[in-house]
Amino acid sequence: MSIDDRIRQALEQALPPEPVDAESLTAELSERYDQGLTGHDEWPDATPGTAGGGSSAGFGFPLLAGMGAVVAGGLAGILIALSIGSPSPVSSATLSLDGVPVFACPGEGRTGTLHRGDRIYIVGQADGWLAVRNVRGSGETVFVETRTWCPTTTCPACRIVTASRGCAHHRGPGRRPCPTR
Amino acid sequence: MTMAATKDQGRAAASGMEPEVAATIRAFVEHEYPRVVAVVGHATGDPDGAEDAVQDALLKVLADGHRPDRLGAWVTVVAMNGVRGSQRRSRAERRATDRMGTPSPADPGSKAVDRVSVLAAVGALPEGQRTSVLLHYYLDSSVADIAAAMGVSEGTVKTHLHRGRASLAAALGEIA
Repeated sequence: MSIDDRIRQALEQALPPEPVDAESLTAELSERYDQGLTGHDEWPDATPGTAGGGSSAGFGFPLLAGMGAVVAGGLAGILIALSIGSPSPVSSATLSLDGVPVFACPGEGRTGTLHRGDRIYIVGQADGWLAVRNVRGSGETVFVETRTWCPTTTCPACRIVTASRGCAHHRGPGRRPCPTR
Repeated sequence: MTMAATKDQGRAAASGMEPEVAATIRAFVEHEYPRVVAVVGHATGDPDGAEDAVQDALLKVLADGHRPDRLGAWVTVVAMNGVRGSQRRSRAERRATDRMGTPSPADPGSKAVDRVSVLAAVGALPEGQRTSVLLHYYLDSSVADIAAAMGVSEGTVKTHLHRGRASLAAALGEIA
């Protein structure tokens, strides 16, 4: 076997591509494109040859900004910034926690669990609950208690309301209607 | 017309998106996305953030009006540049280095050793060589595509590939 073939084979084995749900991912990306959610304003120029320079201080992946910054709930004093009532995907994160329960409505109808590594979009917030969409899931909006977890990332693409100790201000399960439906 | 193409056209019609964009997104997701994510994850040492980076890069490339025939190399380089601009980069690379560990002595007959050795060797390559090698050997990008994506000449890419290949051959216990 030639060295070229060995390199190819070794890379194939070392970096196995993970399968994706092409249908849902295509829909997700199309929606984001349609909404103009291509990332942060400080995103580097999309001309690759020029993208590497001068942008180190302006890193703008909202997802990366949130990645690793998702922390356990109850971290009083943490400053969080969340969108209020925005109907579209506004910020995103990758969960660093496992076993986060999700509900069909705030406090009602537990529908499942989010796991470590799940990617979500935060599409709204109300009274201690976050409306989120699991990127790889059905795309349906579900709700998570900020007591369970809250992101420490900001929300660059939406209206911002800064709330100190937001996670600690959880008011418990509510009987309110779904705020973003 | 395939069912997927019909869906894309319907989606485009409903949203006002150019049908070409919808088809481009689908083609990229179906044919190039998983490998591009793997390359970006490895090259940046941040596999957890690679998906986000690639998705953002794709959307940014499309939003800026770029329509290269093969998006893979283009999106890969944009995504890698974005990740590298992050202040998180150094931390992520340290994690990746820790995971990579010290390569075992090469055993040309062992696929497992090939895998470890080639990853470690690729990780140790200078940036230009690493990017060129991953695009060429893993994404099967042509020299011309790589050059266009990296914004360098084809000669530079050939040099990167030649040197990178020599380093990888040494790591795999062969003479290039």
